[in-house]
Amino acid sequence: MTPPFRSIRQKLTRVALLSVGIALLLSTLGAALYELVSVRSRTRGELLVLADVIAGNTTAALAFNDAKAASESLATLRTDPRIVVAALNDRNGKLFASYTRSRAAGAEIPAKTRNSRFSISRAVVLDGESLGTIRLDADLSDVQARLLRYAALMALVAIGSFLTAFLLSSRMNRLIATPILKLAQTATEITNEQDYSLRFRGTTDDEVGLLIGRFNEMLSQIEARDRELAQGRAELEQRVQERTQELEHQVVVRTRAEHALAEQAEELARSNTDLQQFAYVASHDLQEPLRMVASYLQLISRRYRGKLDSNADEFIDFAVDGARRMQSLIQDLLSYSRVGSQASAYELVDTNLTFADAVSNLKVAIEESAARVSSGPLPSVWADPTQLIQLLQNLIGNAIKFRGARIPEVHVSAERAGSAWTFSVQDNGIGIEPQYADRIFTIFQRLHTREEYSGTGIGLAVCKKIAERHRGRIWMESTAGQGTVFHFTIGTSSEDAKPSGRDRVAPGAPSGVEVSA
Amino acid sequence: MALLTKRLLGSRLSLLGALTALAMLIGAAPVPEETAASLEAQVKAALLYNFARFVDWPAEALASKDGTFVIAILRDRAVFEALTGLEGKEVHGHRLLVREFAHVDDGPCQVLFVAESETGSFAPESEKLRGRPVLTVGEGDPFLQAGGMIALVRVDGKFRFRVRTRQAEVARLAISSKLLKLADRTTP
Repeated sequence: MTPPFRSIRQKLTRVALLSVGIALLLSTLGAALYELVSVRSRTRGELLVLADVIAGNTTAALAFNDAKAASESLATLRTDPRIVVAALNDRNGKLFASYTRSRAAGAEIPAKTRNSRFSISRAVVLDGESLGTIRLDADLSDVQARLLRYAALMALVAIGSFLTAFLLSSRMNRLIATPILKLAQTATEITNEQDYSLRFRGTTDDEVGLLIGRFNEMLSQIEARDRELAQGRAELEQRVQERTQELEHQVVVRTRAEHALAEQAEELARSNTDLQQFAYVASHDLQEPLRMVASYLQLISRRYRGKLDSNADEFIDFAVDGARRMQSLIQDLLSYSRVGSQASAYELVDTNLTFADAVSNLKVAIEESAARVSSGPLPSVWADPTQLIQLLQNLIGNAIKFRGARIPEVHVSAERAGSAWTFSVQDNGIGIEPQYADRIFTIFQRLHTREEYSGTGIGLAVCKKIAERHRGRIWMESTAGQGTVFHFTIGTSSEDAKPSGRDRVAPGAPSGVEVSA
Repeated sequence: MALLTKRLLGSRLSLLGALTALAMLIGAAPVPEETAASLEAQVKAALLYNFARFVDWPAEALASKDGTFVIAILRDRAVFEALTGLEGKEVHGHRLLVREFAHVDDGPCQVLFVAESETGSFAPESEKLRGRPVLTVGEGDPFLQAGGMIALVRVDGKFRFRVRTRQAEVARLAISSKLLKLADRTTP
């Protein structure tokens, strides 16, 4: 629970009045107490002296039993207005002589002192012998009256001091409290309206003025910071908005592209699979009826050769030849499609052995053409060994097949090129026109007639497919009539040699580079 | 102090108290003849005792060997007997001693009471005391004329006293002003 709000103005006034009040009260009380005590003790001392004097003066009267003389002695007390009663008793305690201030009450000597009175008594002694006692009663009412007057004066002084203090504190309020009140008011305004552009007005030459200055500085700082903050926030918002838009756009574009790509890839894969399936199925299923056609054609040729006319024999020969060519076409087509579908696992292959195998397979063709086939030092690579043999065999076979008038010379070499090996197969054959450089790798593409060079036109397509399956590529350099160099690359690491997930069937129109084995 | 003194002396002072009380009665009521004479003697004795207390002697006059203060009674047996009741009391720091004289110069004394019957012959006798610090107390004005210092007189039935200061001064006695104030009459 919060204590009720009290203004600093009230507090200042209260402090001033309280201090003045307490100071006045203490000083008044002290003075009064001192007055009271000192008056009493002074009076007592004076009365004792007086009593002693009277006692001395009345010794003889008591000794000589002279009451008249004693009364005369007591009567001298009239000079002291405080003494109201004096009583002289003899040694037996009997009243011997008396004095009363008021003549009316002269006869009446009270045995006991009244409350408002101050009484002392002394023994009357002569030569150590007590002759009686003297009692003096003093009326302190005039002292009390004086104290009352004193108190009244003090009260007046207190009231005057209070009024002065009040007036002074009002003045102090103007000096101290007013700037503070203004400060508080402005601070409240600022808090309520959240308006930091407001400033504290007016200043003084003391700590309050200092406070006002500092507050204003703080307000300026807050205001500046607010402005910066708002500006920064606006900029940030704009930037975020822009960036968001940009990102959204990018996302949309990318998503669209990805969708398109995925669709395309899917379509490609589907069509590729379809094609492969088609090629394999077609070539496989075509073999059976073709074999039947070829078999019966050979049977007709054997049984009826010479029994029909000469034209018939010739026609039958054409039919047999066609069937045979068709059979070889289908064989090649099957082997091409097998590159993708019937590959074996990769292993580290010593290509020197690969070269030897390829040369061994081409033994008949090499002997027929008296070709010289050589190789430089060859590396070991990660590859499918069977396909690598086929690749080299096809290239060397082509080099021998497309020979010119010269005895064919074939040289196989390998060279490190970055992370891969580049293999080169160089020959001194007929060469290839540069404009056909790309076309020769297309399936069933032939540059020559069947009469010039045999073959189905599928050899280089198989080579390209094998090279690509090994993440490599194949290309050629040639000068017509001078010779040809075929290059292909094979990766050095097992990573590079990983078979590519998908084999491609390069579409193309049939024509004629032929490879014979 | 006063109370203490009073308590210590209370019992011994009872006689003096009685005397004072009686003295007050003297002027108040008539009493039988023989009792009256006895009372009168006692009043005189009390007065003598009190005179001694309000008169100051020169120091050497009180420096007696036995430390006594002597009141001598010249030929008045009644007063002598009354005063012996007060013997032993202290006067000016000395023990009170009462002696009966047949002649003025029967011995050292501080106070000499002269009986009324001896007043007539006191004048020549007083010469023997000249210069000696002896307070002489007698009765009636003639005693003063005979060279006495204090004389007891009856005024309105009460005992009063008259003083001749000149005689006392000669004897180097200082009579207290308090005593003089009580005196019926004081003459130089």
